[in-house]
Amino acid sequence: MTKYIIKRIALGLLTVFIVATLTFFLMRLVPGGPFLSEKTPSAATLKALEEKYHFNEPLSVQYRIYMENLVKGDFGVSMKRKGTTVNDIIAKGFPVSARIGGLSILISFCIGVPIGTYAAYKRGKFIDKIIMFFATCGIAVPSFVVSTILLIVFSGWLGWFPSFGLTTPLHYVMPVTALCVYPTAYISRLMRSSMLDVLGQDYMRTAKAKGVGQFSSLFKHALRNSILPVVTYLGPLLAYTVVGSFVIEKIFNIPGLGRDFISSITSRDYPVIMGTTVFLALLLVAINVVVDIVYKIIDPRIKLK
Amino acid sequence: MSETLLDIKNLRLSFFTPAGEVKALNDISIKMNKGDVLGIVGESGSGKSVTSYAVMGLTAYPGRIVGGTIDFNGHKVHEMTEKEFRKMRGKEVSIIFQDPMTSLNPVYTIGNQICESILLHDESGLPKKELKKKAKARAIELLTLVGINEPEKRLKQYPHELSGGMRQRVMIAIALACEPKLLIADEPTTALDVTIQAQILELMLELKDKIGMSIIMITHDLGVVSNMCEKIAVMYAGKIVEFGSTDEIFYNPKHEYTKGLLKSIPKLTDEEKEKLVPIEGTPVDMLNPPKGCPFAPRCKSCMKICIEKMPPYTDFSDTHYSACWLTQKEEFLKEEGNN
Repeated sequence: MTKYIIKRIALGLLTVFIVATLTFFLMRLVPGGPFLSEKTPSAATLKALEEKYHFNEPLSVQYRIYMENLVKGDFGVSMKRKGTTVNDIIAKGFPVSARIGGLSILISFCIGVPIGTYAAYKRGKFIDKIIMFFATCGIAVPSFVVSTILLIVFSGWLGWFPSFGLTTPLHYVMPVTALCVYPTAYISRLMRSSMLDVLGQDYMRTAKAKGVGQFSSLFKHALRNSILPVVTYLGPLLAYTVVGSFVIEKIFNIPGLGRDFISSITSRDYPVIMGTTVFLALLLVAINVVVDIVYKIIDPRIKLK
Repeated sequence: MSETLLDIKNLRLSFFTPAGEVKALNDISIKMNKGDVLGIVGESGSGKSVTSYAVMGLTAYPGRIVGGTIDFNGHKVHEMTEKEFRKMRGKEVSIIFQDPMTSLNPVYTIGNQICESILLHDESGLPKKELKKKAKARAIELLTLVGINEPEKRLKQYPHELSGGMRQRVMIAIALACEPKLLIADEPTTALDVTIQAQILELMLELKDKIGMSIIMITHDLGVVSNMCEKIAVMYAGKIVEFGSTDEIFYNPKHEYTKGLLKSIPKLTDEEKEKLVPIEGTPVDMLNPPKGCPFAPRCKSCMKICIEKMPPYTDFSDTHYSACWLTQKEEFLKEEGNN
């Protein structure tokens, strides 16, 4: 087990290294640069800037310099926001995005799993059809549509919740709700199909023959067997969600990491692009190791090698 | 020992499928005394399992009892609610399923699964901690009883760490946890290899005497029945076509289907090149059962009346009866001769 985790972490670091390398070179292949805008700076200024950021050196040298700093944990300084290091940007934006993302995933899980289980238990009945209808809607409607509707109804007409910013708990309600819709719907569908499969298994009949009640049969015997697909889906989703949703953060004007992620690309802010991408890769790798361990805990048949 | 334990009278059970009503059980009557070992034999789909599941209230959706009564150990099973069933299942009647590989929950330990059964039906009212200790001790006792070595270690193991034979022993341990009055064994050895089969059957008989329970043995293996059972019910297309003691069924079969079954078993005394005689044809379509005897289309001695009318039961002794027009004819002729 310990050996496995060490192996996985080593492999994960390799993955992050490859991601960083690919991003570095691909980023540079894209036409344009951080200092090009409508108001082109003078040749002297440009030259000074290029020297400052080592742009005059060959790409391989720049790559070496970047990697050396990366190993030290230094993501560099933003080219657009003067004096702000990338580490600062992540340290400021990530907690905000993680709070909203984490909360919404938690809620999705807590709602999606029981609802999917219930739908499977009532398969073919009216209530199952109702649940699946709403789940399909939830998957089909994009988050910006949900956000807009929420804004119009709860902020515009009813005035219950503030429409932008993130200062009081009330501010969380709408962005978290908007972020929740898709994962909740998806998890409940996943849960239902996986549960249906498990409910037909022989050991469920054994449980019933032992005199196990309906509730315990569903939530003790069936749930643990049917939750693996949800865990598989949840791992990467969690990584993507906690680094922030560009759409939601833009709509509700939330100072999260998701906005930095996208705006850094459009403005060719190389260190920020690199920083956010490597950060996401690190997070994904870490979560995947955790998911594997959770697998092993849930299903003892799984061998970690 | 002649106290009645299970009395099934004129049981009718149907599955209401989208294609129509499937009459899975058609007028089944079985009487079992305490301590009996009853074998139910028949081919796939003949209603063997459905009969025993009905006793436990395990009839799968969309199946439903549509007529008749089941009296078991003082319960009117045909009128019981799910809640009453829950109390009875595992305590008064237990079941062992066909496939031990899939019948145990893969994510819980053996100990957990045995203790669950004990804890569910415990009425001692002990505090939780003591109860768990007691259940664990009982689980170890049960594992020893079913012949599993190192029971303490096994309690912590998962089903996938055990062999098929061991798992079936664990299933038996679970079934016996509360010393049931009746054990239903639904083809318990079909999925096991032959040497293990014999061990498991032996074990079941041994435990039957120790605990003093009755057994219903569902199988399509006549060899198994001949070794274990005192009485045999032969089922075909949801009907009991012949019922009798083991000797009566094996040495004096009356129904053409029983005769066919017996002919299709290989015998050690047979000449090397002797061929087995299969029963020709296929089982009946239960959605459109024939009007007369369900076996008529496959029967070599089929008469006109067989196709038109269901034969009534003919009694040959107190325990032996069968439903066949041929035996009716014999009776008829006998009576003619007497007069």
